[in-house]
Amino acid sequence: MSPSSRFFSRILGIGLTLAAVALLAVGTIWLVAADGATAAAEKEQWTTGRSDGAVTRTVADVAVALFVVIPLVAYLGLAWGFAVERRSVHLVLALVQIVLLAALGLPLLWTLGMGLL
Amino acid sequence: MSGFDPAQLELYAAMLSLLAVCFAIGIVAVMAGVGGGVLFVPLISAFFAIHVDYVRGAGLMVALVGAIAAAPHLLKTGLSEPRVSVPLALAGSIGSVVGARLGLAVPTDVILLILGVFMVLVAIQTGLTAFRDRGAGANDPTRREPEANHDDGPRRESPREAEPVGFLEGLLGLSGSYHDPRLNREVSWSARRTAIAAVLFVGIGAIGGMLGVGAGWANVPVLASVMTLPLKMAAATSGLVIVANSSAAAWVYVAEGAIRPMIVLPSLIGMIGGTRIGARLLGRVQPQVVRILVVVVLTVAGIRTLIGALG
Repeated sequence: MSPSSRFFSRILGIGLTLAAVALLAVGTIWLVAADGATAAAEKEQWTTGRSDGAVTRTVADVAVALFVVIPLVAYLGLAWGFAVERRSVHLVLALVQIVLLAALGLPLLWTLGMGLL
Repeated sequence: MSGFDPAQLELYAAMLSLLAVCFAIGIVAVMAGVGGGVLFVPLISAFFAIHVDYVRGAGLMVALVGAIAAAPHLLKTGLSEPRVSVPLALAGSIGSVVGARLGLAVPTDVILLILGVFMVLVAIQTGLTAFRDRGAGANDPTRREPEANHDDGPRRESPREAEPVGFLEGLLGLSGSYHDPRLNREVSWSARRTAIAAVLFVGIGAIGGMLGVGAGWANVPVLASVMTLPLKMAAATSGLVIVANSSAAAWVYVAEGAIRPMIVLPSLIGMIGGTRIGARLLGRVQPQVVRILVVVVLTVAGIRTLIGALG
């Protein structure tokens, strides 16, 4: 196993841990802070679906996004690490993937940005 | 906080029941050799009063976390090969984003209909796997490979010459070897029909993104049968593909507000706990019995979902 893949495999593990801790913390805080009305709205929305946007999502979105962003960054890093190691067509391949996946993620970044502002 | 508010208690009870069911799903998934996500979405959507959008969002997170938790170990052993998974993950990611957008755009009844058909198909696939293993005399649970938890594919382990056989395979360097500790020797591999596999992975990603399931049930057969990779390597490489596909699709679900921590949180805790217990029980339970149980439950859930969608 190359040093780059070893490095990025560690990032995968650390990313998972950090994301899990972040989600747990935010979820716990949200739950403790929730009053009866909020809890009822949350439970109600479980059934009705996304059309009733009664519960604020911004903080939760950021926490959940950690789950998504960290593995994606690790994945891109993995591709990049192997590309650099082989100095071949993988470099081009990794660049194409990075551009494409970044484009795929733009809608979320926009949503999160708007939510935070 | 208002103490013992009935609404809060109802929310806590729902979360606890979700955790308990996910714990059970985690145990059964490992012992049956199927991915957790592939059981999570059908069963939770069939038996819980949770909107299917949220179930699919949580299912993606379950698949993502399960795959990423296994990734470091699989990379370390060399069974999971990024040279194979990265190009396929790109194809799968594009498909999964398209599938996720499509899945959140079409009416709920249509999704339930597709989900019901999917459940029945997975039940048939699981049943066939159980039947084939029984015919091959594979009842000994100790024969099971822990790497194959994303789903089973064809039982084949055929070391071949490590020579790329096509232009694309040669260009991407899709050949090599890994050390198999059980066989105690190097197993050579070389990929074939990568272009066809990439096209198939776009479709698999689309289904996975649309239904919010990990795609090990389809990844492994494609990697093993179409690309002719050794089964262990196929199962391990599938995990990396699931990480990328689920990540890409999850962006869409997060952006559309279809991932709720209050649902994801107990689901993840339950599944992680259940899979750990399931792994410990792996050698003590007949996998065939568990698979038959999965077939029955998935069939019932599938019919129930179909009736709900059509009714």
